[in-house]
Amino acid sequence: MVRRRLLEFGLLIISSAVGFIGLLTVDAVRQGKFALQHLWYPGLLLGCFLLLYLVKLCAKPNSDPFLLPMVSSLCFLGMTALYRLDPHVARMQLIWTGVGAAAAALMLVFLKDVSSLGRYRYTLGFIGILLLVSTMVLGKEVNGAKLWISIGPLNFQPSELAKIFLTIFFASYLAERKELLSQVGKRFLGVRLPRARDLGPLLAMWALSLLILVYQKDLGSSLLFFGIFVAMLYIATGRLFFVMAGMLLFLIGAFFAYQVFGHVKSRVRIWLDPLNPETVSGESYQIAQSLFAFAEGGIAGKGLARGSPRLIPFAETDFVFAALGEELGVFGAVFVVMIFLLLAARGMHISMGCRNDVGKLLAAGLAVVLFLQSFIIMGGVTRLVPLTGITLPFVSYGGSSLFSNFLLLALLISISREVAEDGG
Amino acid sequence: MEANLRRAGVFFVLLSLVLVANLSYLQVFGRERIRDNPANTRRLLEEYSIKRGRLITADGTVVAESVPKDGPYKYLRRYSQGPLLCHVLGYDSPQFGRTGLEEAYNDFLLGERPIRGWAQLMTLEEKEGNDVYITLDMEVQKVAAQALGRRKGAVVAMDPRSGSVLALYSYPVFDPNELLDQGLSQEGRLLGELAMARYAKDPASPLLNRVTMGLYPPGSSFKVITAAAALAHGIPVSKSYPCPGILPVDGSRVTNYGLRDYGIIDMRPALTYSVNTYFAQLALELGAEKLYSTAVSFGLNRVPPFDLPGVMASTITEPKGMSRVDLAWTGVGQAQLLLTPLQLCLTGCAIAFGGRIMRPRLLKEVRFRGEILSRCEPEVWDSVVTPEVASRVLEMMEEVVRSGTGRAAAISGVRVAGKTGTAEVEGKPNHAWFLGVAPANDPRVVVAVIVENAGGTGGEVAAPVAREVIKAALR
Repeated sequence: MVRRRLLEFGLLIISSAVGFIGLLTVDAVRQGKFALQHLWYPGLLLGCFLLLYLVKLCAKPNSDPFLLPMVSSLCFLGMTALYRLDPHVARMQLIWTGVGAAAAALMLVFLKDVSSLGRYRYTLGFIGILLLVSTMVLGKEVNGAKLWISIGPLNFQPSELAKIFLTIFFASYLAERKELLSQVGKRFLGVRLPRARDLGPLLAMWALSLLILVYQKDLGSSLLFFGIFVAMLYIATGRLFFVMAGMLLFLIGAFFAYQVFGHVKSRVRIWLDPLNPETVSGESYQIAQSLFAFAEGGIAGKGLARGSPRLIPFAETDFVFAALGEELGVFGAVFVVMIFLLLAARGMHISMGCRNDVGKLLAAGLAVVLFLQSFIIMGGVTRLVPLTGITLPFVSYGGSSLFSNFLLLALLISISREVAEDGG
Repeated sequence: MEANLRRAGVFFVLLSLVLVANLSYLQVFGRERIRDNPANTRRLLEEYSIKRGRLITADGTVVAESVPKDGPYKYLRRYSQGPLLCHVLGYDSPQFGRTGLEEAYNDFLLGERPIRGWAQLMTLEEKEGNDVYITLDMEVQKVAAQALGRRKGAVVAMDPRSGSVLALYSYPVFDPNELLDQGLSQEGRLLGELAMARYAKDPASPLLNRVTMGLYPPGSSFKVITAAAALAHGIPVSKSYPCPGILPVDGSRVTNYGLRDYGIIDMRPALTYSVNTYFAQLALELGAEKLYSTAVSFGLNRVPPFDLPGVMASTITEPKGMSRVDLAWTGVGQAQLLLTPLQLCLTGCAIAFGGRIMRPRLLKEVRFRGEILSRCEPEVWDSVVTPEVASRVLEMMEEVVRSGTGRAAAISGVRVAGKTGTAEVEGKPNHAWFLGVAPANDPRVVVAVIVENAGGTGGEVAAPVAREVIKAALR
């Protein structure tokens, strides 16, 4: 076990090199000489992770050694990108990382048994839905979507937190019901249909997603929640039917939304033809700038502080992946894709090792959350899928996002400890 | 559930591979196509982050330089002479692209050519362009602009020995600095774009460089070419014709200015007084083929290889199927003929420089921080007529200024040669032309002047303009 802890420490230090070297490079390009006075940015970030590491060492000594270094590599990369774009935003991000890491530390210390969360599933699920619905009532509209709630000076994005509550709810709900849901109904055209009433949860989730789409115009969250649910349903039951039905429902919903809502229609139009001369400096400006940024990057990128990522709208948040693609090239972009895949793989691994169903499904669900969210936004800014505004976990600037994702990380770490203890 | 997890994992791997494949397309394989999209402003931003080289005239005046700006573009051009050199320098604008020398020597000005050594590249703090030195002389240019005044027209002056352009002015003008104005109007439109829209709509076409793109009927100034063609094909100066006020040709007629009858005269007085009926008979005797081939050798129906972009070819109709009436009027310069002022100037250069036309050029040399990187050497564009023919024509042209229609171009103490032209325009006043060469014993300057719809003859209106320019050039 000591070897695993040393390995984790070593990986943390290595991942921090991205931040230190990145900052030195940015300052060197800007000022023409090496300057050490800004190294406190990555220094503080490393401090956050080392403290979290120590807490983890004491509270969950046998937990997974790879999650923390993978997340820290994303954070260091994100912080470098933000520092390059706007040092003020990088400082804010540091503060939020501190808050997030503190919350994660508290969770590691006080949450003894993750599967016990299952007992509060309806409360948690209710809070999750309340959080989602809250923006419909209290939210203010930013960039055509109602995602934010203002509490005093703080802007808060409830959907980021809601995804964790709902994942816990799904996990314990599905753990309890999976046998029932797996039961076979009639056969039809060679496909085994589930019993009609077992479709209820799927339809309910579909309705909720549509509600989010209609009232909040938030395509990203809508797709994310529905995707998480369908994926977890499949993992719990192994029934491909649910995936098919989910996709069908999604297509029906998407078609309906396309027909009825102007903003969905324009999103699709932009997606199909982003470089159309008529819209390229109008409604498809964002995605076009993102594509130009990626193209400018090439294989090795323009180099930190040598590109023009400020041209990309929302480069600090939704489009941070494009900013990285421009200055770090295919190398940097693929690195990010791979880290998220590895994170998901690690989550799956933890899930496989977990003995209780709630923990198992929760770990899988959280892995799905991270992967799906990163896929939706990375695919969106590269025009693989229609663009929807959502953060890139641990990289984009955003307090709510960082806070929630650190909680997610703490949950995964906690489950991995149970793995170790259960498995011996 | 383990199997389900595994399958979900495989699905995630596939999704990641699709992401990577798409990234490879965007950043590697489809890269150029995306980058070349006109809406991509990144190239522009890069180009405007380079301190572009200066444009400097022969007298050492810095006429274009890049000055640091706030806003998206780090540097923008400033033209110290405003409209005075607008058609020579053109402009360099992120909105409208480049014209003039800014376009022609963009590579030099951006520092992309000539290739500099690594040592030099490494020691530069930021990318910096090369300075382009041009042959134009500010004094001559100022005089040309002043002499033409606010009349539509064009003036071009060249050194016939090297092809160096000394002055090039076309009126109306535009102010390139206005086009570069990045400020916003009250409606939020770019001031530069408003200025561009205003210039583009202006019926007087201020954006048009009349020296290289203005195609005008040459009138009698074309008689220089007719005379040279005759001499080149063995018809001597002493060739005489009876020159009545009205010459009947195949049921039509050629008339003299004021229908004046000159009696029997040879080529010298015919050119001196610009006698139409003489040159009509000369053209008829010469034949369409010979007149045409000489005109083409002078540069008609060809695009002169000027380093300023946007040069139009002057035109003459093909000899095949040319009627005798057309041929007679062509010899006079009043048929299906269109010449640019540049072409007339090149014609004068051939006469002034022993029958050879040097390649017209504005580039003198390219320097980086004073060190000469490249120098433009004079080269011959074409040999048109023999030195004897050229000197005969020049002698006759001297007589035009001494005692003929071009007396207004005479300068005391300088032997000036020249030829006037008064081109008829249907329904409008005449265009006034003048082609001047000086000094006639050793020509150092050739000037072509046109004043559009002047309402007077070339001798009255255009010759005085040429006179001032020649004086300034010989100073």
